[in-house]
Amino acid sequence: MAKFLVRRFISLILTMLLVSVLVFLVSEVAPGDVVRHMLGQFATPEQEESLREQLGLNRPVWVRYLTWLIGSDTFWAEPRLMMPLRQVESQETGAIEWWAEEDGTLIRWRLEGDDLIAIRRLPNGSVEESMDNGRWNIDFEEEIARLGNVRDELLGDSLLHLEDREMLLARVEGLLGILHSSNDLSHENLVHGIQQYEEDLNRLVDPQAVSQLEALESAARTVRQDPLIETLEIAQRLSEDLESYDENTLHTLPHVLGQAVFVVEDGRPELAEALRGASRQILARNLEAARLALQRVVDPMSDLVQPMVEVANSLETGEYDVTATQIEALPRQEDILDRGAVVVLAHQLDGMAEAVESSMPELSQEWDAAAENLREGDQEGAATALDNAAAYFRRQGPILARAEIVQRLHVARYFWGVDQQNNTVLWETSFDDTFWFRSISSGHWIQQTSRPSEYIPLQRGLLRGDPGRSMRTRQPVGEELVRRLRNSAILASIAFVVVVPLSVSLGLVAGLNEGKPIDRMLSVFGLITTASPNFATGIFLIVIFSVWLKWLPGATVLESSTSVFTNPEMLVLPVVTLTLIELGYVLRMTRASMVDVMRKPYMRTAFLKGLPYRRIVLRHGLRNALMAPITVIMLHVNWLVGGIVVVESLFGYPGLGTFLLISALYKDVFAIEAGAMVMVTLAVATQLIADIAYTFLNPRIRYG
Amino acid sequence: MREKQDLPIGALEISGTSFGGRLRAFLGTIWASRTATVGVLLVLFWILVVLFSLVTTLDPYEQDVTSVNAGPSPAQGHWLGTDDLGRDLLARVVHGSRLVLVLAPLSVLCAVAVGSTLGLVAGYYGGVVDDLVMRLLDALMAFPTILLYMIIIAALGASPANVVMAITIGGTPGIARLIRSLTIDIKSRDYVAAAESAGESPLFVMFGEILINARGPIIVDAMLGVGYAIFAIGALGFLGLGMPPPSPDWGSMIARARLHIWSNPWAVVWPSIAIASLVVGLNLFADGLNEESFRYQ
Repeated sequence: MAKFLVRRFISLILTMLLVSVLVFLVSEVAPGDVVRHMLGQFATPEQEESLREQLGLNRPVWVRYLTWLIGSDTFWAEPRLMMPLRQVESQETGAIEWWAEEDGTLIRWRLEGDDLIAIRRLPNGSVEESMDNGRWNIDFEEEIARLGNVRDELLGDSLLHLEDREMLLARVEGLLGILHSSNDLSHENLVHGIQQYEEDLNRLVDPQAVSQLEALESAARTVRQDPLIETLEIAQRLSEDLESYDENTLHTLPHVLGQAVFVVEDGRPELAEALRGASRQILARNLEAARLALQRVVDPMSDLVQPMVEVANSLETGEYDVTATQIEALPRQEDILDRGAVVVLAHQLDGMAEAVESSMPELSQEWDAAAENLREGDQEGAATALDNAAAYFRRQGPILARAEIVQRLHVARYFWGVDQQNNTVLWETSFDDTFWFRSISSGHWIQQTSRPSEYIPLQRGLLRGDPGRSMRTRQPVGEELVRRLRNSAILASIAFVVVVPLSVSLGLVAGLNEGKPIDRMLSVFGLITTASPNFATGIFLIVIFSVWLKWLPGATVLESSTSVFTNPEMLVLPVVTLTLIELGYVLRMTRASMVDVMRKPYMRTAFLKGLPYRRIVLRHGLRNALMAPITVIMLHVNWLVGGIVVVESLFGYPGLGTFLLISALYKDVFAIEAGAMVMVTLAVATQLIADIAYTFLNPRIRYG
Repeated sequence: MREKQDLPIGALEISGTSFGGRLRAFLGTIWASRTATVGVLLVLFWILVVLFSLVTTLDPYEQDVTSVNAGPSPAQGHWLGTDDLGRDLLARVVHGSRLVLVLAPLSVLCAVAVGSTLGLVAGYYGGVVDDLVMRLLDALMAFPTILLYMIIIAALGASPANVVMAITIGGTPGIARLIRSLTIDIKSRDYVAAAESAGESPLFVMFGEILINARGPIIVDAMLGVGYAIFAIGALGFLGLGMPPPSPDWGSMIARARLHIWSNPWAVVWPSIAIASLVVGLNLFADGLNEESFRYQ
């Protein structure tokens, strides 16, 4: 028996492993993920990526699987953190919290602006916060190299005012000096010194200039996102490689082309016509014809947009003196310029004017005026406005350039710590670009230079009793699962208590009356209830008893954990539905088994011995006849689980079935895994119980 | 749906030599059982409905704004009523039948193809191959089928191809197991040994000798499988994982109409009756057939 149990146990573990791998793989190969479901279809790819990082979904699938299985703390988090991790229960909420441990105190961190704040948990449970910038790590070699490059750039810079350049050079040298002396200074002093330098530098920046830099960047982006330029890019790519376009892109292409047509229609009717033709061919999926049509528009279009593309380039690289020259050189004479070019240029100037409107009203006005004058054919006016814009760039360029350089004159830092959402996090201050991320705790989008850039969600792993947190709710899967399991268990056990005696006794009656009308009636009834789909049965019951007769509620609303017992009428229909699913099946099994047993010689012997009928049937017949139904009931748990999923979703019952359904819909992997493990255990356990019950009923069977 | 019983080999072997004779004997078996007769009639009814859907002018997408969520009203031309968008329920039920009656047999066919290959290979070669295949199938079987469907369809999205795939995956283990046990039995028969010693390739022995001789139980099992597949397609639709709108998929019709069950229960009742009658019909048919062929032995 022991050997048998051990073998069963090993097979259970193997099955669980296999199922868990399969579930991970299925959810991995499928398109879309929990992030898509959580953010909805209007989220940008960057937003999705950010949330994906926070959920740890960007890590390779085997890492995520092992994290789920054996936990992330020992193998992934602690080596990076270089401190042991502790899991404690919060005294206020009772939730599980992860802390790093240092010299016996528990510690976590958070970012405030560019400052690192340490949160220490004192032995008495209270929490103490303090500035903890000394922990920042600096990659000295890389930063020295990077700042060296900035210094070289400064030396060759022609845009900055001379005095600005000298001053900035002095600061760079200063920073480099601190970095070079990293071996002599204590780490804390080093970081402190660097911060002093940076604060000093920040004072040099006109706060307006920072927003202006951003506005110019977005102006450059506006130019790039112009339908004409987009069309041009598409046309160029499509003329090279048709196959690179999938159905989705082809679906949106006519829309982009339509916008381009709208822009050029006024000035270049023949170009608009060509674009329309291409659009028609794409709609008809004549890709070869579309390619030829697009090839014809490539050259005239690139002539049209080229000047502005160059402006966008120089804006992006920050060479504002070049920008000024380019703006002055913008074609604005009607005689060398046809109507189409004017329209396109005016359109792009409009876009740029809008982008800088709030932070650079002066420039915005000039661009607006230039666009308007161009449209009205007033060349003089347009020329003046563009000259003014160029002059603005000459004037403002050095200030912007200073702001831009200062932004890069910081020392990048990083730190692996533990955050307040139970992740091990790599915090980075990076000054190359600002960064958006969506904080899970507040749900808001935050923009800052210091940011968490890598997450390792902390969990202990299934083998150590932690099935992880739901991706969807961020709550521990275990707690939810236990609650749902309890609800389902209530439902299932009530159904079980009703089904077994009822179906066995009905089966007995049918079996004893084999071939008589009552047997035929019960058999057909059993067949029909078994065969009819459970959701259909449930719907018939709801329609009859709650819609038409209004006797019973058609949905289950559990307000608290005890409301099942205070409002038992809510459970009637779910239980009846579940009962009907199982009833017929067990009934037919018992009947067949009973008929079989009644024909056995020992039954005849019992009759001939003159034993009382009752005793024969119950003692000799039923005991033998029950063997088959019991195995069947046990093996039928999987089928019952399917029934429970349907019944729960039909009546809105908050049980395991609805939990699994929602988790599957959201692709909430950890939740699905947890549910799947429960299911597999249930299936194997019931099989085991069936086998053991079998040995009791039939002493001839021995396991071992 | 039900535990697959290991039928004795030849359960469906009906005597007679000519094709006509065998067909007559087969029909005789069906008529002899009252349940099988009722089942066949129900299934035939739905096959007729499918044929009707090919010729009818009823439009499952046309909206009648003058009667929305209406009960049965022959006067307005809606024999079974309309749904929440004013679409004729009769038209939708009729057109929905085609979807179900094509997808279900197709997916069972796929499951039988995959399952019999796996079962034959496992049963014929035995040993490590057998262990490997059966462990894998056991893992799949330990998993509630409906949950398997849910995960696959939720992951891949509902389309006819994905539904067929999901049902194939869900149905394969059962069929493979059945065929494996049949193979192990048939493998020891003399004619298999004869074929082997005549130098036939394992492939021919498996598919040409063993599979052919195991066809009886497979047919009964496939019949039950079709019933289960229809149920599964309906259940998926009911759980909100059915064919995307505006498809007249019965399960999706139920899921949608459930929201309006208080104002118009008919919209839920008709597709439910449709699925129930078709599934019950197939089960009665398979059951009756099973019973009769046992009696003949």
